[in-house]
Amino acid sequence: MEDYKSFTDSQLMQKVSEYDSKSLEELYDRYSPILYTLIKKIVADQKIAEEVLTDIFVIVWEKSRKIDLPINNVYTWLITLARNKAIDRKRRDESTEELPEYNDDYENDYVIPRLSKFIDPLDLNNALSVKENFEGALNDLTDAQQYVLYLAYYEGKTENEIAKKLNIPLPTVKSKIKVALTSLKHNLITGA
Amino acid sequence: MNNVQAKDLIQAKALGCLDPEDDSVMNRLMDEDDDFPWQELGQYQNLVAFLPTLLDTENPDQDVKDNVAEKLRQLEEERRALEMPEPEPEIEPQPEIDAEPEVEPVQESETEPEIESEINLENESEVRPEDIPEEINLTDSTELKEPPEQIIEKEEPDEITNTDPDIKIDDIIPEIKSSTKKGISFKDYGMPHIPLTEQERQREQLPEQERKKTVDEKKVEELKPDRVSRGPTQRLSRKEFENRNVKSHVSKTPPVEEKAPEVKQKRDKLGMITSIVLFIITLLVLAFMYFKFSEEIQQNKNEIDRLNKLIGSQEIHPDISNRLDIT
Repeated sequence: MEDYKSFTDSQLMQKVSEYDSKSLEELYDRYSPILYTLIKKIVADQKIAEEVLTDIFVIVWEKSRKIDLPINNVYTWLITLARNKAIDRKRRDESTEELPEYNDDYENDYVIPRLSKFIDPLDLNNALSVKENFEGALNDLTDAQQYVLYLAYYEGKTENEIAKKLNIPLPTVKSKIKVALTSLKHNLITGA
Repeated sequence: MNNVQAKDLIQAKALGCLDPEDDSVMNRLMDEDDDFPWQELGQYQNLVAFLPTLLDTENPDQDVKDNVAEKLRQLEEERRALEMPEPEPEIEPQPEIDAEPEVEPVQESETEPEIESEINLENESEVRPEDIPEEINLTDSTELKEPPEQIIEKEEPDEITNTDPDIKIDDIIPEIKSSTKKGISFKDYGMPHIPLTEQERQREQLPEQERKKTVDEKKVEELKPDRVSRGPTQRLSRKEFENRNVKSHVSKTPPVEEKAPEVKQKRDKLGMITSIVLFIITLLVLAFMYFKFSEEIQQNKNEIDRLNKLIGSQEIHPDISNRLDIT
């Protein structure tokens, strides 16, 4: 009897890619709280958040047969997947315009994360372990920088939409985003 | 140039807020640019993924997990259904199976050589040709050109009625039995019914008249529906078929050995009851006799006493004194 709780995220994802449903269950137990919290923050509705969370794990299971799952960085892949899916749902629920049909191609292009080929390994435990440092690094940003990051990440707005919303030029928005993330990274590394 | 462009877009790409045009440019660079800053993109992707750790974590309802499990189950079922091969056109509703003209000849062609070889071996060794009449010599399979269904209809009456006195079934049975042990199931090929079980062997030892009766009943009630009306896919397996036959024999002609203990038991009970009744009667008779004799003895005693008294008072009647020789 295998003890799935002792498995690392990478081991679990490896087993999911081998169609081991127990591994997916363990992955759900580990990640559902943070993913659900993130999704609910974006869609602001419990029922929709639950639906999106369900969809996330269905996608993981289905894609395990079709794509190479990120074995070495499960955390970033799942967080990005949940964010993309929730933003897509939010846009579809709120948009008055006709959006592209949600099909397999669309999902692959716009929902499934495309992580860097050379990304450092990261799992849930490691991510949570740097939470305080990250909070400090974020707090060192200006309010405008934090707000731009908020609009982009949680509201799902593009640079152009942010510019319109804040009534500022697009290059300014691009610059703010670039500077905000560069500073955040710097603050986190230096521990400032 | 491309590298500079990529570095300008890389933060927004990691944050997921690129406009569609810029996103297309970025994706093209990721696909085509050999000098794409993958390392940097990875760092920013990890950095952005830290953002949700600052939220106050909330657990979803247990129902969500159940929903996930249910959805996965449905997906698996759908996947299996898609992977399953489509049903073959040969498997059709009942009426077509009943007809079964195309299927049976295949069985015959496959099984014929086995029957032929086995029986020929037996013929060479033990079975005398003169003991096997023409009608029953089904072992000569080279002449079987008809479908087995026709053979069944033709041959079953031979086995069941056994009207020809020259036919010595008992001579043939051991040979056929020995060949069945070698792996041939005659039933499958529409051959006459060969008893295989202990009960069936006992049935074979029963008197001719009784055996005829059971076989006739079986022919009508059991053999016909199984072999003729059903298609090959619906037939009972050999074991089930044999079990059914055994049950029918047991219910119709129970073996003598099975009856004997019951009779013996009944006899024992009857003997016991008779003994008890006889014992009680004897006791009653003895009691009756005891009381009767006791009463007579008492009466005699009384009479003696009375006579003694009379003798004492010398008032004995002359007749009595004469009878008692009293002088």
